[in-house]
Amino acid sequence: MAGLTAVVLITISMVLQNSIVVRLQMLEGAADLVLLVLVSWVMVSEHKQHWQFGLLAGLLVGLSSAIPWWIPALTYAGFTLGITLVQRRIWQVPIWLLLTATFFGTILILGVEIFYLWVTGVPLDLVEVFNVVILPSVVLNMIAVLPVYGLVGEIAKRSFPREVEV
Amino acid sequence: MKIRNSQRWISIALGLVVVGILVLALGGYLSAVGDFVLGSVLQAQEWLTVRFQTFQDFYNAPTDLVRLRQENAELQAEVAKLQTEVIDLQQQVSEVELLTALLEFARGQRENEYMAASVVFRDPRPFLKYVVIDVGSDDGILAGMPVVGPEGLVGRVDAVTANAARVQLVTDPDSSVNVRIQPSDTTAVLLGSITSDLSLDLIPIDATINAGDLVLTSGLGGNFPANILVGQVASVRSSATSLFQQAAIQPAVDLNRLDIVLVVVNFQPIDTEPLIPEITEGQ
Repeated sequence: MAGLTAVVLITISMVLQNSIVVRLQMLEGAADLVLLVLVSWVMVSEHKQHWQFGLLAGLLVGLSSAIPWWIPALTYAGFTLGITLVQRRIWQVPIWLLLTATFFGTILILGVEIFYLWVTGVPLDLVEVFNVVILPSVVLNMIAVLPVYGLVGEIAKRSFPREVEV
Repeated sequence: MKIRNSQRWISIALGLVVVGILVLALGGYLSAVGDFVLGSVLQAQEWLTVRFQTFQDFYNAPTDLVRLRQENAELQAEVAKLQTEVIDLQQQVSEVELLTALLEFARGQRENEYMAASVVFRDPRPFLKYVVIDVGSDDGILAGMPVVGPEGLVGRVDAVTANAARVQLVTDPDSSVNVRIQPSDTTAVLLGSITSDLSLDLIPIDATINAGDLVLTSGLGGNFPANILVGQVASVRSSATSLFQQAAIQPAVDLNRLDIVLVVVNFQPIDTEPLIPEITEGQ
């Protein structure tokens, strides 16, 4: 049930990302709703194999984008695996981890894409890229992550209520 | 016999009184009396009617209230339905306006055959300027076909599936289009950027370019048909030390608000790569 909920959430977030969120830009940056849902899900879910959802999210992003599908698939899966490992060590402060993961996740995913475009010869001014894409995207993600976390937490609570020790 | 005579005289007297009253009424001598009588009757009738209506309203009020509420709900539903219809019609009007503009564009470029397509979504990655349209190989769309909007060039088909196609916009940082600047008839290369700004590069240093000049596709390179409007020169940059001039371009099409586009289906791009000699090491 938890896995199915995650798949549905990720798919819905992908559709919303493509149709609405990508149009709500700050300069050339936009929030990454799929990333935010993924990070929030890792925080609220008791599922252990989060990287599978990361892989699914990456594949969906890759299939709807002009960037080769394996780049987002690898980065989203690797990022999810990374925050899962970190979460097991500092699980007491989920909000701090949520914000840190969103910050570094945005930079990691955009950074890998920039590297790919640079390798393939697309002319990019790195200072301009940082100013008009990365920085606004980070800001939008940091603003949007808390409401997304609240919503995903509520959905998770209703989907699989935690057992209470009596 | 005596009684009969007295009744006759009474009848005659009454008849004479009635005739007299009629004569007086026709002569207008009884109007004041008539007004008084009629006014009193009307007042009494009005008094009675008002009381009766009040009683009837009080008696029927609960059923009327229910009926009025039902009618109100029905009317509200009707209003909501009409508002939806108005919104639908407004959307249809804007679509018709857009399609009219596209039709006018197509009429102006008679040598091209077009297929209209709706933009389904934009590329979710911020570095890439692509859109996905709702026609694909089943509709005869091939990779490389040019895509235009009502005012001018939009981009070219980059990849195709059975029911959809991905279009690389001219603003994509990896996009380059050979263009011609009018009226000087100078060739240049149109480049996209990460900020969605368009610029011209490789303009000869001796060419005279001014703000407001038109930029059209040149057809060189075989990727686009010639004479499709791209935009206007916004500003020109040149320096004494550089070999070429650069210019900023104001695109003719608002690429951030693409809803419907036209694919030029009778244009086959020419692959010029085999004609370019390979440069091997040592040469």
